[in-house]
Amino acid sequence: MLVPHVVADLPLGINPWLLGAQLLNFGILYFILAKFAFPALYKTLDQRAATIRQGVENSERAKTELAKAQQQADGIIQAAQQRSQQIIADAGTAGERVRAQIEAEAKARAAEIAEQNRRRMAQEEAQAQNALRQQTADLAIQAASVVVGRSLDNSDQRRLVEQFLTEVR
Amino acid sequence: MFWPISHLLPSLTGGATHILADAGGPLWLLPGIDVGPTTLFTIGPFPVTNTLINSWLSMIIVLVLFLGATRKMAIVPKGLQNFVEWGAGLLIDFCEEVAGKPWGRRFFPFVATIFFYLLFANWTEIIPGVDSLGTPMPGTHPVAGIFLLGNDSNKFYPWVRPASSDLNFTLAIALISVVVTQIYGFRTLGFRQHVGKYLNFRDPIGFIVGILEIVAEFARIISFSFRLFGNVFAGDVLLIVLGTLLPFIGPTVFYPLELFVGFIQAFVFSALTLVFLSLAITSHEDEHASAAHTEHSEVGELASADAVH
Repeated sequence: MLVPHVVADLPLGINPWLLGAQLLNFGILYFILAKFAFPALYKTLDQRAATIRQGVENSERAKTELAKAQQQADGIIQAAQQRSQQIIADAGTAGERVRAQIEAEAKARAAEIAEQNRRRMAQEEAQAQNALRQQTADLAIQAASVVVGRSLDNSDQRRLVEQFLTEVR
Repeated sequence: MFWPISHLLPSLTGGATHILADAGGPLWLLPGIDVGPTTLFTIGPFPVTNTLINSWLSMIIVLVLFLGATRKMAIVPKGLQNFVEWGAGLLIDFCEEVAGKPWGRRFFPFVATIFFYLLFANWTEIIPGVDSLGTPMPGTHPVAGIFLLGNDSNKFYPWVRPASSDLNFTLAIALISVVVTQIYGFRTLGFRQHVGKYLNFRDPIGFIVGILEIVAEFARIISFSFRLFGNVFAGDVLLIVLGTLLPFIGPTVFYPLELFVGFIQAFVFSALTLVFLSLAITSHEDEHASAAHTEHSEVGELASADAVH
């Protein structure tokens, strides 16, 4: 250990040992930083730059794909709209056809029912006429029996009356 | 530990100026100014000075900062990593702007080491205790065992003094800067072309320019080392004088200025190194081609402007 003193080997305090020590200091500092610190720093900066670049590219790609998907969706919606219009039009046509068919069937059915009713009415009318004719024949026979005073042969009478009524009709 | 009462804030000055106590004697004196560093002890022939200790302290600060920040680096930075990346990132951008991307990346470690080493070596001057804690000279009588007062107040050897206020430090960095610049010049251009910058026998003007280039290389060492030394030494003296004349208040006003000066000096040193490195890897032919290109571009621009008018 030495008593401290001011370095005055050369003017302005320059000393070869100290100059060498400062050169060595800088060399050591540079070596450690260049070996351990700066490569790690560059690596991280490069990784981050790559990540950001990748992110930007992904974003651009996503944007393009989104636009494409939007375009596809628009196409699908447009096709669906056209299809729905077609379906509505087809449904209208089919409905009209079914309506016409139902209407035709209903008319046919109504005509059939009307025909059946007319036939039944004619039949009932014929039945009523027959019944009326029989009653009339019976009444005529009874009246004739009373007028003639004798009883005619029943079968002959009926034949005659019915013949009469047929001719009257 | 001895703590001169006049040096609660950084101080290194001295002389006849003193502040008188009530009894008529000085309460403290301005410390003496020594341009050279103080040897605190020796290891064989090797002197360990107070500026050398400061340069080790600056190295430790830089290493702790960078190794701490880059030990476990995350893609999303935070804390110390964020801070160091911010500083280093600005310097990387600057290097790439000046020297181009590939060369900027190659120069960055060297330029960054200079910048951050000088920055912290300059800034240590405002740390309390630097220049004001030290070993008393023989024959002094410390008050309360640790304080030096009165005529003894400037009789001590400071343990730590800003490294940049020592010419050995600034000269070493300047020598490294110039030598590394020359190495890059030789490696990039080759021996013949690089030496041709300085020894040009083709024409008299080229010869004179070459001689001036040689002188400029030596002048560069002097300007590098003395600019840094002068600024930091002057700032250190300023803080000490103000600390002695107006303790606490005086230096505090100048701390921001010294921080700024410390930053500017570190930046100027590293920026000039970067510029000289960029020039060293450029041949005279490239410079002429670049100048011709610039001239051609200017002519082209003028012609375009003329055509527009």
